[in-house]
Amino acid sequence: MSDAISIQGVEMHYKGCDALRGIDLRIEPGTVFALLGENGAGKTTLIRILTGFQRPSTGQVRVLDLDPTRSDQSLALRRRIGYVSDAPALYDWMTVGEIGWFAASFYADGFKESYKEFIDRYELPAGRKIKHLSKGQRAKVALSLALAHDPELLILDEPTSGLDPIVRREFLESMIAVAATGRTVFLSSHQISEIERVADTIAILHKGRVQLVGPLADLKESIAMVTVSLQDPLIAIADPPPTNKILAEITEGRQKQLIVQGDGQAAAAAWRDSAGVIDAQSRSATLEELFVACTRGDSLYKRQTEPIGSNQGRTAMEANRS
Amino acid sequence: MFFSIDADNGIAIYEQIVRQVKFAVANGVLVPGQLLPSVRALAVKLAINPNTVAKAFQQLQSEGVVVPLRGKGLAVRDDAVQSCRVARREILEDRIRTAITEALHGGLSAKEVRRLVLDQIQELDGNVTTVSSPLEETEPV
Amino acid sequence: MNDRTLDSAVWRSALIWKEFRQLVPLALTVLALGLGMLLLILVTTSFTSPPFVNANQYRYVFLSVPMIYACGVGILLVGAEKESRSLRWLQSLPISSRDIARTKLAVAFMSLAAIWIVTLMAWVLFAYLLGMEPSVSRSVYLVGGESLPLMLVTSVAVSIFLCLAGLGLAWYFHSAMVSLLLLIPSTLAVWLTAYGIANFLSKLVRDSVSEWSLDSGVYLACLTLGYVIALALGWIASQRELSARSAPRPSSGWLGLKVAMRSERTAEAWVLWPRTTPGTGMLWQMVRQSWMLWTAVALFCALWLLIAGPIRLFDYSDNYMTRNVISRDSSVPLWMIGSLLILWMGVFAYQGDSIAQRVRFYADRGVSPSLLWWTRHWIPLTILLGLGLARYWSLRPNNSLDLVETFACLAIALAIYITGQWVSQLIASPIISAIAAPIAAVAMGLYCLSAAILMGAPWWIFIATFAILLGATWWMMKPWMERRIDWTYYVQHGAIAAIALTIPWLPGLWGIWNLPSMASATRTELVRFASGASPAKASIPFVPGPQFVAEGNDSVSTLLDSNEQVRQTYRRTLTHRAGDVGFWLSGNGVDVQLALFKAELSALRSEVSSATTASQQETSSGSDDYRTILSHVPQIVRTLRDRRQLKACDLAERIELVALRECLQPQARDQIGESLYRSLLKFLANGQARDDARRKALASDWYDQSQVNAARDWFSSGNMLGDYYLDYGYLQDLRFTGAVPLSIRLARERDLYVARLWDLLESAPGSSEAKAKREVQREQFLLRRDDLCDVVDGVVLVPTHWYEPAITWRGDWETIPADLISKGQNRE
Repeated sequence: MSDAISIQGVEMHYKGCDALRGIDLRIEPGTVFALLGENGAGKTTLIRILTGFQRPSTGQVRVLDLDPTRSDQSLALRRRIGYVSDAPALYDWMTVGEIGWFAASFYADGFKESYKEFIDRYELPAGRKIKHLSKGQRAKVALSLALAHDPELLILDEPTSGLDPIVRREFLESMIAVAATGRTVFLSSHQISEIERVADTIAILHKGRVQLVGPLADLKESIAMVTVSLQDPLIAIADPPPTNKILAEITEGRQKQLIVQGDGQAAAAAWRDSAGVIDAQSRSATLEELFVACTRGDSLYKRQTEPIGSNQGRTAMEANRS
Repeated sequence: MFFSIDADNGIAIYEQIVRQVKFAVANGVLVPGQLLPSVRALAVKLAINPNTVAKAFQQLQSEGVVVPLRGKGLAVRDDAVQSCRVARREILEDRIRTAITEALHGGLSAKEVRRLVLDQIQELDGNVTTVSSPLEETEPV
Repeated sequence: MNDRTLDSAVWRSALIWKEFRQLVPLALTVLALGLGMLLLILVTTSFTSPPFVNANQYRYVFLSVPMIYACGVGILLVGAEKESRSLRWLQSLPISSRDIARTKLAVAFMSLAAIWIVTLMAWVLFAYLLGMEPSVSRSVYLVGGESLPLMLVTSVAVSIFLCLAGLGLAWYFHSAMVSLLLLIPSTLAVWLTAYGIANFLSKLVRDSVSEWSLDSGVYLACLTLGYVIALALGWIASQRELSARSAPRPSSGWLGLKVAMRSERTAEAWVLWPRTTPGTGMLWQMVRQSWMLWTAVALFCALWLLIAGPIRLFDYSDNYMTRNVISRDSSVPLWMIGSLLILWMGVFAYQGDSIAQRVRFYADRGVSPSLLWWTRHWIPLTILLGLGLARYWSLRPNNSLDLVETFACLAIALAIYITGQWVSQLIASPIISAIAAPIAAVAMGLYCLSAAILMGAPWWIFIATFAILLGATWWMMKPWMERRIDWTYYVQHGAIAAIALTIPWLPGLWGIWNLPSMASATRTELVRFASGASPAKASIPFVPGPQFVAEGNDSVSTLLDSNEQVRQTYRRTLTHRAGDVGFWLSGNGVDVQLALFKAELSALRSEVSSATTASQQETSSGSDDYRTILSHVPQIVRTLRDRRQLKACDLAERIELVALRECLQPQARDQIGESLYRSLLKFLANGQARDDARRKALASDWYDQSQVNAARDWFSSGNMLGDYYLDYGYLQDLRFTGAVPLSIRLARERDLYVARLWDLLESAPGSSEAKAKREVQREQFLLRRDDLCDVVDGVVLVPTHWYEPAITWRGDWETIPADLISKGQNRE
């Protein structure tokens, strides 16, 4: 089956900064794809390219097999996707009901009823003007507008930033409901706890490049956090076994924390037996630690030239599992 | 039943669901023949990816804990209680092993460890509420 | 969800609905402001003479409403959406960019057409209500060479251009205010091009085409060209805006290096100076964020100083003040644009650089409202002050009045600025406040002018008004910062504005309050006397009197002889018609008649007395004539009294005085004849009838004139009393100006004058009280002559001048007839 989103070699250069330095991603239909990255990593730029607001400097983008930057195709594309941006600017003077009625006229039948269902579910007052709604309620209106036409692909750009936990939970549930019906969800966020629960595949964006991409479960399984206690901090530790790769390393006192790809237990065992090491413990890394490891400093950047878990890597891991 | 999912604790989410279902069956919270919630409903309720839920259900099914009922969903197998109790025992054994390993690794002697364990048993036996009838004695103490 | 092709009527109507809804605030504001201007003009001009009674004269108000709307419609439709980013959301819906742009264009046109229709209908209704000729008729009403239909067509054409240009500019520029600002040069460009072409063409076709039709034709053609350009550029800009943005070209070479270097700023570079207070920080932000704007302002100031700065508004070069307002044509647009820019600088105080969205940032950080207020105003006020000083310097060499003029200009500039900043705190949307501000400024100007003209507000009181308006924004700074903009906010603002606007009227009102007025008892008495039988004030047929001067170049004796003939004719006329009102009140001047009457009677008397010695008494025709003429006196006096006119009443008294004079002669009894003598004296002694006639005459004239004054406007006829023109200065020391207080003062002074005359009649004739009152009354009358009208050395003096009313009232002579009668009785 063809990809829901296909991004090839996309670069975006602005005056004074390079937002994206070569992105290659493929998102399968029916999955929840989460794009992680710090502020300024280029997530919003990428989403603007996906939604057709911005043409990339180079590269190709295809969303649902259509090119979003071409005006003739983007119209048909917009009928099939739903987009919720960060702090969406809706028409403040319209009421909740009015904006639904307004948007409904651009989509096929059924929008109004579906929208009304969402409004009722989120308990939004239909007669109140949007400018009098709280931030969470506005986000829910934007979400309802994006979902009411049952889009094949839902693109969310940090939709829950600044919202209270209850609203965030409601957003999560909606995303999952959409995913459960077989639609694709593309989510950009830095709420790691949410992503851990909800994502099928993640990618970590840092300094305009994809540092890590792959199915979340596999990534977590294959990456371990090994804590090594040393007798002498100045002694360099031995290399790990060849099936492991060190992704990042922090030293504090006489302890080192290493993020190791591959069998963490084996690596820990190997280090435990090596000289100068008092102890080595391994556990699977949390996504937050992964994220911090990918984005902090240049240690990872310097070591890797290819993102971990690129498409070849993924298929390799899948092959390993099955 | 209520699930408690912790995305952070190192155990895969699907594995947590599997374990909690097994525990529930073992404790009698889920009785044989009871239907599990649908994938979609559980995913929405727990706010986790439906694929994860599906994976957990698949594993439960392949391990013989649940069985699909045509048109209704997954139901707990009648003979699942025993196997779940066995599984529960294995999990608990694993936990005790981890604790003992840690104690030994930390430098406690085997004698000290045994003393610790016996003391705890002495203190707790009879003072902890049980959820179900005790397992048949299959192994010597 | 089925996927059939969508019914375009559905989404088109939804889109049109949305666009219209966005325009409603602008439409309502512009219409309300137009109505307000209309009412203001109506109210203020109802005091003028002549008032604006022709609907044509209001045409500027009616024609400007759609034009102002046209300025704002494009900018509101596109610019506001861009700034609020709702355009982004709109683009995420499945609408093609062509449809968005097309719909906005269509809605702009439709709404402009609607506003035009509403305005024209209102104009027709207005003309109908005011009961004047409907000025939208097809007849050409020429005012200053420009016919009304042509003006209408031009206005419509210009409004269409403004609409299209506004749309195009708003699509192109990110900031709505910049687009609004750039409307000025784009309109000017079209106008200047048309002007240039028309000038050029008029030299070629000088004779065949009339000048104004050439001008208008060229202008319309240039406007049409402007439409095309605006449409094309606007369309291109809209499609570029609404479709995917192209990636910026990579910076190459040294530019790239510079860019790369710039992005490597270290943290230390952000510390501009070691210590920052919140105030200086905010000032820095204001300058830095809008540096383009302030640079443009500075450039414009320089340009203005260069061209218009050295021009004196009031040229005092001659010996007496001659006012040449802005003698050079080129500087007029600069003054006007300068005023507009000052106004918008005021609007910038509360709308510029998105301060309105940022105030919560300041409020949350505990920035005091006063500090924020101060920092918003510091830069513009400094600019204005600096400009004023620079202007004074540029007027070198200075004469003594330059300081006054500079202060006046500075004061007006400050007033404009304060109006702008007040409007912008009141209205939330920046575009609407930018559009409403000029109208508000014009309204303020009109209001201040009318307060000065009508109520005589002194110039320094407007300082209070505008200081209050400036303070109002300071006072309301806290709720504004916290965005607590509800009805209490508007009520407070309105109350402060009402106070500020009422203040200029206070001096005038205070003066009016302090004016003395006639006692109500006197007023009721006067009204009572005025009512009753309506007087016979029929018009008198004009009968030319005898000519008194014989023409010719003959010798003096011939002249005297011919004059003698005339005199005989006059004597005969007198004998027949001395009792006839027509004789007295028509033809030659009444004072001439009176003088001749007196002279003729004297001549007759001397004839009679000389005839007596020649023993031709009682048979000479002179004696008959004498007596006949005298016998007419009671009749004419009664007739004149019946007319109930003060001037007629005074004439009657003068005739009485002449008769009394005759009666006072030593041989009067014999000369006049006993019976006639007695009846004359009896008649003359009837003071009651005289007083009654006086009262009725005074009351009637006072009352009639009051009615006439009430029916006409305020300014004229305040000082008429019947046929008398009262020029008095009783209240002169109350020195205040202003049309309304002045006319009220005139009316009250007239009343007081009449009241004093009325009061004069209360005192006894010939008493010292009467004399004192007469002195007071005469003191005030500015046109008084020092003719006496009393008895002096036994001679009754008869005043013949006719300027002052009632100078014969309560004179000493009133007691004489009664004395004579009693003397006669004593003798008998």
